[in-house]
Amino acid sequence: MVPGSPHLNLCSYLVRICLDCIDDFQMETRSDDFINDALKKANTSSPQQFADSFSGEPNPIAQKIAVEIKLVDALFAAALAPYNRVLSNARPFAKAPMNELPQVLLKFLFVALQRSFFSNQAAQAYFCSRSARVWEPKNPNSGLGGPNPPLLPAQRKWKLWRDIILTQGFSRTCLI
Amino acid sequence: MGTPVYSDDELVLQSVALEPLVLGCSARANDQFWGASDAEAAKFGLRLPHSMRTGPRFEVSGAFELRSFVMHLYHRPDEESRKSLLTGMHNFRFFYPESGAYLSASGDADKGEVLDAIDPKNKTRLRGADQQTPAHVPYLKIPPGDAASPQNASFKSVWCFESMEEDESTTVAWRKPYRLRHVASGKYLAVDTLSSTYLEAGQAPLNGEGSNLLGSDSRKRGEGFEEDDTLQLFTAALVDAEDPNETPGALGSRESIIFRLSPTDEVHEKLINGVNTLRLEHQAASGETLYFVSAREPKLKLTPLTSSNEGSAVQTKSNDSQAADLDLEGVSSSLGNTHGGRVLFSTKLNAVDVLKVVPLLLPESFLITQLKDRMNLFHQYTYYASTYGKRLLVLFYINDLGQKFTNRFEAFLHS
Repeated sequence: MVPGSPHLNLCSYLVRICLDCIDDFQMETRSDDFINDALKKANTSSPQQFADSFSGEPNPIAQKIAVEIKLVDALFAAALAPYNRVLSNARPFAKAPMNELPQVLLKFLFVALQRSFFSNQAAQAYFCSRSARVWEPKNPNSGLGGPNPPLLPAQRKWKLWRDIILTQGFSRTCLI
Repeated sequence: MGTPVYSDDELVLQSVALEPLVLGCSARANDQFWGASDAEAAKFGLRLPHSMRTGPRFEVSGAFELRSFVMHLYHRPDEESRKSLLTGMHNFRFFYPESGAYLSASGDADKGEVLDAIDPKNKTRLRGADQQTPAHVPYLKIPPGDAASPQNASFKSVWCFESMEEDESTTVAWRKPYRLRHVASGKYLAVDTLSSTYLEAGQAPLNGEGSNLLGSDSRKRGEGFEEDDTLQLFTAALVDAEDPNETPGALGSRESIIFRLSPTDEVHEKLINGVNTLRLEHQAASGETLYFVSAREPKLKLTPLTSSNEGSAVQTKSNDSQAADLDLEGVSSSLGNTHGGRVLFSTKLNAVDVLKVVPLLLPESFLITQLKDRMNLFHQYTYYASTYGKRLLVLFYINDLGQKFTNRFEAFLHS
């Protein structure tokens, strides 16, 4: 375990909660041993391959609830948290062993976020209009002791996502 | 086999599969497991964001020592009551038939609280345009399309009744005190009875421009009341659970969150598990009864708080207002993102200001409760993971502390 990374019990619990969320965002229900299978798959496959393994039909009611109670925002912020932790926007787990639970949890968070607006134009439009804090370091080695880092405006990405939605109607791919 | 279990019996819950393991609970709150706790924040004279407040948490696990639990009766309706009567376990929407609108509120528990404290200059808290009204207020919102269709209704308009006693739930009766919980944000409806505004008899009604209630009917504020009435109006807002330190009548006090339900046509003794028409009443600390009214004007726009306690006025916009600026034509209307109508409480009863309680379908009710329950953990993880697990950093990150604390924070980092 990397010093300072989130408590493993918390990560383990959140993996289950992410799977429950994914389960709610799609119509299919999973089997009882799905958690172990999903953990193995998350450890051994790339994020893209792992995301592809969740292919159920979306549940629009659950997606609408996720938007309106701000669960999408909570998932978005949680998925960005490790990047903030290292004050870098690349490879927050570069020094961690491959099977670290926090690293695996990130894959689950990304998939849960993706399923929250999958094939749902209103949910995608909502997500595109959100912004979240990302700390942008002055340089990769500046650390926390330097001056207050500026916030990275989300509008840049947002404009790109807006174009996707306006031109294609909606995007079936994960937008992150 | 065995003996009957009665309420208040002490029980040992033993695992069948893992005998002799019994279910146990930690004697003290286990805050080490979580990123930050209310108790730890209080040591610094701070409060956690609304979305992270949970109260003390205890760890339940298997134990080899003898541990026991005491069974208390929470709710036990008979079979007929369970099906036919509304209970504290049911979620519902408040429908306002006069305008075809629903009583709604933002699902963001931290509405108006900008948590980003890393830049002391970006120290923004939002308030209503009058600088007095809190940012998180209830409002009346007409859903796009057919208002009566549940598919069009928002989950921001889901509420539930809670008994005044936290450890019990009952069927909902007329004229009894209840707390009214907004399910999406987890906060309670409250009325501030310490400050009020007056609408004198004959005063010109306010313009409803900007509200999506405009056009739904021609009635304006003040209409429906007696001509010689002088109205005293009180602000409603959403607050956390009761704060014993608050002045009685102020937002957040126990008195501010008590509501009573008055039937318009009393057919049943209690509220049924179906559509009920009622008046929402609030008992002020002075003993006066206040009534829910639609103000027939848009809810107040949010502006930065400019009181002397909060430093100089700032022009920075919140995430929400940024999002509003970036809103797209078409997308806005598809999300039903028009301005809601303001909700107040009045000393005078208005005949048309009645509400209908419309229970949610069971699967939807279950789904929203289930998804809402997971929110807090994601917030905890976010702040914990963002701050490298250093609890002081957690507290710094989530609170609006200003430059003074920033210096201490940087000293801590360099130590």
